[in-house]
Amino acid sequence: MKEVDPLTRHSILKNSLLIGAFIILLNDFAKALQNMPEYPSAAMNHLLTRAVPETGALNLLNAISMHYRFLDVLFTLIILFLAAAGVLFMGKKDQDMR
Amino acid sequence: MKGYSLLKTACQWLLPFVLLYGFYIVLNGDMSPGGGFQGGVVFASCYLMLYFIKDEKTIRFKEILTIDKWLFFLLIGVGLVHLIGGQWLLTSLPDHWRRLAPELILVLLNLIVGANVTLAFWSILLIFTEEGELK
Repeated sequence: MKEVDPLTRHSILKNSLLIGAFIILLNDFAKALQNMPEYPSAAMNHLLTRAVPETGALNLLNAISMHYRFLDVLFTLIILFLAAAGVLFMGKKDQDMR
Repeated sequence: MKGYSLLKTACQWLLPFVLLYGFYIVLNGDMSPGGGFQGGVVFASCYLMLYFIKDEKTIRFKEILTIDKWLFFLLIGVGLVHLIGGQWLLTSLPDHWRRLAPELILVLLNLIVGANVTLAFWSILLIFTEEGELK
Protein backbone atom coordinates (compact mmCIF):
# COMPACT_ATOMS: atom_id res chain seq x y z
CA MET A 1 0.00 0.00 0.00
CA LYS A 2 1.26 3.40 -0.93
CA GLU A 3 2.12 5.79 1.88
CA VAL A 4 0.13 9.04 1.78
CA ASP A 5 2.14 12.19 2.26
CA PRO A 6 1.20 13.73 5.66
CA LEU A 7 1.06 17.17 4.07
CA THR A 8 -1.49 15.98 1.47
CA ARG A 9 -3.54 14.29 4.19
CA HIS A 10 -3.51 17.51 6.16
CA SER A 11 -4.73 19.58 3.24
CA ILE A 12 -7.50 17.07 2.44
CA LEU A 13 -8.69 17.28 6.04
CA LYS A 14 -8.59 21.07 5.96
CA ASN A 15 -10.51 21.31 2.69
CA SER A 16 -13.20 18.87 3.83
CA LEU A 17 -13.61 20.84 7.05
CA LEU A 18 -13.99 24.06 5.03
CA ILE A 19 -16.58 22.47 2.73
CA GLY A 20 -18.51 21.16 5.75
CA ALA A 21 -18.53 24.58 7.37
CA PHE A 22 -19.74 26.11 4.11
CA ILE A 23 -22.60 23.59 3.83
CA ILE A 24 -23.67 24.29 7.44
CA LEU A 25 -23.59 28.03 6.74
CA LEU A 26 -25.70 27.63 3.58
CA ASN A 27 -28.23 25.51 5.50
CA ASP A 28 -28.55 28.12 8.23
CA PHE A 29 -28.85 30.89 5.67
CA ALA A 30 -31.70 29.07 3.93
CA LYS A 31 -33.45 28.57 7.30
CA ALA A 32 -33.03 32.27 8.13
CA LEU A 33 -34.47 33.24 4.73
CA GLN A 34 -37.53 31.06 5.36
CA ASN A 35 -38.19 32.51 8.82
CA MET A 36 -37.56 36.11 7.86
CA PRO A 37 -39.97 38.65 9.45
CA GLU A 38 -41.81 41.02 7.16
CA TYR A 39 -39.63 43.96 6.24
CA PRO A 40 -41.02 47.48 6.82
CA SER A 41 -42.05 48.64 3.37
CA ALA A 42 -43.38 52.17 3.74
CA ALA A 43 -40.47 53.82 1.93
CA MET A 44 -40.50 51.16 -0.79
CA ASN A 45 -44.22 51.60 -1.40
CA HIS A 46 -43.83 55.38 -1.55
CA LEU A 47 -41.02 55.11 -4.10
CA LEU A 48 -42.80 52.51 -6.20
CA THR A 49 -46.03 54.48 -6.42
CA ARG A 50 -44.97 58.14 -6.31
CA ALA A 51 -41.37 58.40 -7.57
CA VAL A 52 -42.14 58.26 -11.28
CA PRO A 53 -44.78 61.03 -11.33
CA GLU A 54 -42.79 63.15 -8.85
CA THR A 55 -39.37 62.97 -10.49
CA GLY A 56 -39.99 61.69 -14.00
CA ALA A 57 -37.21 59.12 -13.70
CA LEU A 58 -37.78 55.45 -14.48
CA ASN A 59 -34.48 54.61 -12.81
CA LEU A 60 -35.36 54.79 -9.12
CA LEU A 61 -31.72 54.93 -8.05
CA ASN A 62 -31.22 58.04 -10.15
CA ALA A 63 -34.48 59.50 -8.86
CA ILE A 64 -33.22 59.13 -5.29
CA SER A 65 -29.71 60.42 -5.91
CA MET A 66 -30.67 63.36 -8.15
CA HIS A 67 -33.98 64.40 -6.60
CA TYR A 68 -34.66 63.20 -3.06
CA ARG A 69 -31.04 63.12 -1.86
CA PHE A 70 -29.49 65.80 -4.06
CA LEU A 71 -27.58 67.43 -1.18
CA ASP A 72 -25.71 64.15 -0.65
CA VAL A 73 -24.55 64.22 -4.26
CA LEU A 74 -23.51 67.87 -3.95
CA PHE A 75 -21.36 67.25 -0.88
CA THR A 76 -19.91 64.06 -2.41
CA LEU A 77 -18.79 66.14 -5.38
CA ILE A 78 -17.33 68.82 -3.11
CA ILE A 79 -15.28 66.15 -1.30
CA LEU A 80 -14.13 64.74 -4.66
CA PHE A 81 -13.13 68.24 -5.79
CA LEU A 82 -11.21 68.83 -2.57
CA ALA A 83 -9.42 65.48 -2.96
CA ALA A 84 -8.41 66.34 -6.53
CA ALA A 85 -7.22 69.81 -5.47
CA GLY A 86 -5.24 68.30 -2.61
CA VAL A 87 -3.53 65.76 -4.86
CA LEU A 88 -2.66 68.51 -7.34
CA PHE A 89 -1.35 70.78 -4.60
CA MET A 90 0.89 68.06 -3.16
CA GLY A 91 2.19 67.16 -6.61
CA LYS A 92 3.03 70.78 -7.35
CA LYS A 93 4.74 71.14 -3.98
CA ASP A 94 6.91 68.07 -4.62
CA GLN A 95 7.93 69.46 -7.99
CA ASP A 96 8.86 72.79 -6.46
CA MET A 97 10.97 71.18 -3.78
CA ARG A 98 12.98 69.10 -6.26
CA MET B 1 5.81 55.76 -25.81
CA LYS B 2 7.82 54.11 -28.56
CA GLY B 3 7.34 50.36 -28.90
CA TYR B 4 3.79 50.37 -27.58
CA SER B 5 2.18 50.46 -31.03
CA LEU B 6 -0.39 47.75 -30.26
CA LEU B 7 -1.66 49.62 -27.22
CA LYS B 8 -1.64 52.86 -29.15
CA THR B 9 -3.63 51.47 -32.11
CA ALA B 10 -6.13 49.71 -29.86
CA CYS B 11 -6.72 52.94 -27.92
CA GLN B 12 -7.15 54.87 -31.15
CA TRP B 13 -9.85 52.45 -32.22
CA LEU B 14 -11.56 52.31 -28.83
CA LEU B 15 -11.59 55.99 -27.88
CA PRO B 16 -14.64 57.16 -29.92
CA PHE B 17 -16.70 54.19 -28.77
CA VAL B 18 -15.82 54.78 -25.13
CA LEU B 19 -16.76 58.46 -25.49
CA LEU B 20 -20.06 57.52 -27.10
CA TYR B 21 -20.77 54.96 -24.39
CA GLY B 22 -20.09 57.54 -21.69
CA PHE B 23 -22.54 59.96 -23.29
CA TYR B 24 -25.11 57.18 -23.57
CA ILE B 25 -24.76 56.32 -19.87
CA VAL B 26 -25.06 59.96 -18.77
CA LEU B 27 -27.97 60.87 -21.05
CA ASN B 28 -29.99 57.71 -20.32
CA GLY B 29 -29.22 57.82 -16.60
CA ASP B 30 -32.81 58.58 -15.68
CA MET B 31 -34.29 55.72 -17.66
CA SER B 32 -31.79 52.88 -17.44
CA PRO B 33 -28.93 51.86 -15.13
CA GLY B 34 -26.34 54.60 -15.12
CA GLY B 35 -26.16 58.26 -14.25
CA GLY B 36 -23.75 61.10 -13.79
CA PHE B 37 -21.21 59.35 -11.58
CA GLN B 38 -20.95 56.21 -13.68
CA GLY B 39 -20.73 58.04 -16.99
CA GLY B 40 -18.19 60.45 -15.54
CA VAL B 41 -15.92 57.59 -14.56
CA VAL B 42 -16.20 56.15 -18.08
CA PHE B 43 -15.15 59.57 -19.42
CA ALA B 44 -12.26 59.63 -16.96
CA SER B 45 -10.81 56.52 -18.59
CA CYS B 46 -10.65 58.48 -21.85
CA TYR B 47 -7.87 60.63 -20.42
CA LEU B 48 -5.60 57.59 -20.03
CA MET B 49 -6.41 56.54 -23.60
CA LEU B 50 -5.50 60.03 -24.84
CA TYR B 51 -2.27 59.79 -22.89
CA PHE B 52 -1.45 56.43 -24.50
CA ILE B 53 -2.20 57.75 -27.99
CA LYS B 54 -0.39 61.06 -27.82
CA ASP B 55 2.38 61.50 -25.31
CA GLU B 56 2.05 65.25 -25.07
CA LYS B 57 0.55 67.39 -22.40
CA THR B 58 -2.67 68.66 -23.93
CA ILE B 59 -4.57 69.59 -20.74
CA ARG B 60 -3.52 72.09 -18.10
CA PHE B 61 -4.86 71.51 -14.63
CA LYS B 62 -5.33 75.18 -13.85
CA GLU B 63 -8.01 75.28 -16.55
CA ILE B 64 -9.51 72.03 -15.29
CA LEU B 65 -9.88 73.40 -11.77
CA THR B 66 -11.35 76.67 -13.06
CA ILE B 67 -13.97 74.86 -15.16
CA ASP B 68 -14.71 72.55 -12.24
CA LYS B 69 -15.25 75.52 -9.95
CA TRP B 70 -17.74 77.16 -12.33
CA LEU B 71 -19.53 73.85 -12.81
CA PHE B 72 -20.06 73.75 -9.06
CA PHE B 73 -21.75 77.14 -9.13
CA LEU B 74 -23.89 75.92 -12.04
CA LEU B 75 -24.82 72.78 -10.11
CA ILE B 76 -25.81 74.77 -7.02
CA GLY B 77 -27.74 77.23 -9.23
CA VAL B 78 -29.71 74.51 -10.99
CA GLY B 79 -30.38 72.82 -7.66
CA LEU B 80 -31.66 76.08 -6.14
CA VAL B 81 -33.85 76.81 -9.15
CA HIS B 82 -35.23 73.31 -8.92
CA LEU B 83 -35.83 73.70 -5.17
CA ILE B 84 -37.41 77.17 -5.25
CA GLY B 85 -39.06 77.36 -8.66
CA GLY B 86 -39.92 73.70 -9.11
CA GLN B 87 -43.59 74.09 -8.25
CA TRP B 88 -43.94 77.22 -10.35
CA LEU B 89 -42.30 75.46 -13.28
CA LEU B 90 -44.65 72.52 -12.93
CA THR B 91 -47.83 74.59 -12.73
CA SER B 92 -47.20 77.37 -15.24
CA LEU B 93 -45.83 75.41 -18.17
CA PRO B 94 -48.01 74.10 -21.01
CA ASP B 95 -49.21 70.55 -20.73
CA HIS B 96 -46.72 68.66 -22.85
CA TRP B 97 -43.80 70.56 -21.29
CA ARG B 98 -45.06 69.96 -17.78
CA ARG B 99 -44.65 66.24 -18.20
CA LEU B 100 -41.16 66.62 -19.62
CA ALA B 101 -39.79 69.25 -17.23
CA PRO B 102 -38.75 67.03 -14.26
CA GLU B 103 -37.03 64.59 -16.58
CA LEU B 104 -35.19 67.39 -18.38
CA ILE B 105 -33.97 68.77 -15.06
CA LEU B 106 -32.71 65.30 -14.12
CA VAL B 107 -30.87 65.00 -17.44
CA LEU B 108 -29.30 68.42 -16.92
CA LEU B 109 -28.22 67.54 -13.38
CA ASN B 110 -26.80 64.23 -14.61
CA LEU B 111 -24.78 66.05 -17.27
CA ILE B 112 -23.35 68.56 -14.78
CA VAL B 113 -22.53 65.85 -12.22
CA GLY B 114 -20.89 63.78 -14.97
CA ALA B 115 -18.75 66.73 -16.04
CA ASN B 116 -17.75 67.40 -12.43
CA VAL B 117 -16.70 63.79 -11.81
CA THR B 118 -14.84 63.68 -15.14
CA LEU B 119 -12.82 66.80 -14.40
CA ALA B 120 -11.99 65.73 -10.85
CA PHE B 121 -10.73 62.34 -12.02
CA TRP B 122 -8.85 63.90 -14.93
CA SER B 123 -6.95 66.15 -12.58
CA ILE B 124 -6.01 63.18 -10.36
CA LEU B 125 -4.90 61.12 -13.38
CA LEU B 126 -3.00 64.13 -14.74
CA ILE B 127 -0.78 64.42 -11.70
CA PHE B 128 -0.14 60.65 -11.70
CA THR B 129 0.90 60.66 -15.35
CA GLU B 130 3.12 63.67 -14.74
CA GLU B 131 4.85 62.05 -11.78
CA GLY B 132 5.86 58.79 -13.45
CA GLU B 133 6.19 59.33 -17.18
CA LEU B 134 6.42 56.32 -19.49
CA LYS B 135 9.60 56.39 -21.48
